[in-house]
Amino acid sequence: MAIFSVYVVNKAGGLIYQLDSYAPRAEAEKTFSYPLDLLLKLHDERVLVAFGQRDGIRVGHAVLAINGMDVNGRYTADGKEVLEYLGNPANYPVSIRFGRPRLTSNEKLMLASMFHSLFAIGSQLSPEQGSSGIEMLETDTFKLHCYQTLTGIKFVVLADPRQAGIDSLLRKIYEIYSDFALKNPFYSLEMPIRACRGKATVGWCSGTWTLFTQPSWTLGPSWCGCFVGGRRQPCWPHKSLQPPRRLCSNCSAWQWC
Amino acid sequence: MTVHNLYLFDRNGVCLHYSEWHRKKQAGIPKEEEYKLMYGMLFSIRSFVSKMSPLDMKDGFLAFQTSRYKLHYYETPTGIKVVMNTDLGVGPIRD
Repeated sequence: MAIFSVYVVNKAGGLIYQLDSYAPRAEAEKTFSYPLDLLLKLHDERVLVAFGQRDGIRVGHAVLAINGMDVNGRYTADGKEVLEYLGNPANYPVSIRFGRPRLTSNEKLMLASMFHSLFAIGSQLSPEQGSSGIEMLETDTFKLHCYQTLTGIKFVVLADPRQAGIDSLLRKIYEIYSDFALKNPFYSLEMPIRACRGKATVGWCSGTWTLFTQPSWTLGPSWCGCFVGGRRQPCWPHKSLQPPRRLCSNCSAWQWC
Repeated sequence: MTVHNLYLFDRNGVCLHYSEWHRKKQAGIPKEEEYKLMYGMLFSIRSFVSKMSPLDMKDGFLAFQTSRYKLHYYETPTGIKVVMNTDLGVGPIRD
């Protein structure tokens, strides 16, 4: 998948929207016998590999599942402590799945705020006049692109290093943000953006970035903001690639889904 | 291609060397503070990148660019960090 994630950060540095779309990360499941040749340690409520590398399992990978059952932080699905369970030779042979740990929502919030500050420091340490903040950050596994609008909102996209056209994608996301979030009468500025009832995704279609919305009639009727005769009007089914709003014939106001 | 300045840090954050060729804007803070801020920013960016990365990383953070300059970063296995600020017309300069 070329685009890994999208983050939208408000002008105070808080995360208001986040979307992850990477394919399953590198995971390795192996059967082990006692003693375990990897050293595990507890870090941040997760059990990580501290030392030892074999067959695709690297330092920093977390324990994701034991014997097919997903672990919950440091406890297995049955409530036992993972480190204790793996220290007991009676439980072997055991099949453990390792992989890169997923970010929790709190961590995403913290990373977004961290990026907000780094952006500002990048502009302060500039050797040239009038520099903006960090617009593109390059590593060997991903490229991070950032677009800051005149109102201070930052749109951050993590993509494959070889992916082109991200600048136009950022402008497109800004356009979509202003069309759907800002023109929505129920949205308060700088607050987290709740996804519309029909899930919207941005994709590449015939040479340009476009917004794909699922038809919302599959989820049952939804109610829009227009009141007629004291009752709310039911939503209409909207096809893909059409914006989910229309002009109300009764009160001439825009209806939202 | 313009090179603005160069910093060399050791693994503890002490600035070993700083050279300036073509710098138009000073940071507005004393040089010592600027070195500490630069090292702190690089340390934070490295930890940010290692958390955000969707795949296992080999080299880590390489460079970042703003609308006016590009910062290149190279770290040796012993922890020596080389940081160079150049203008935007520059490709990868790790070598």
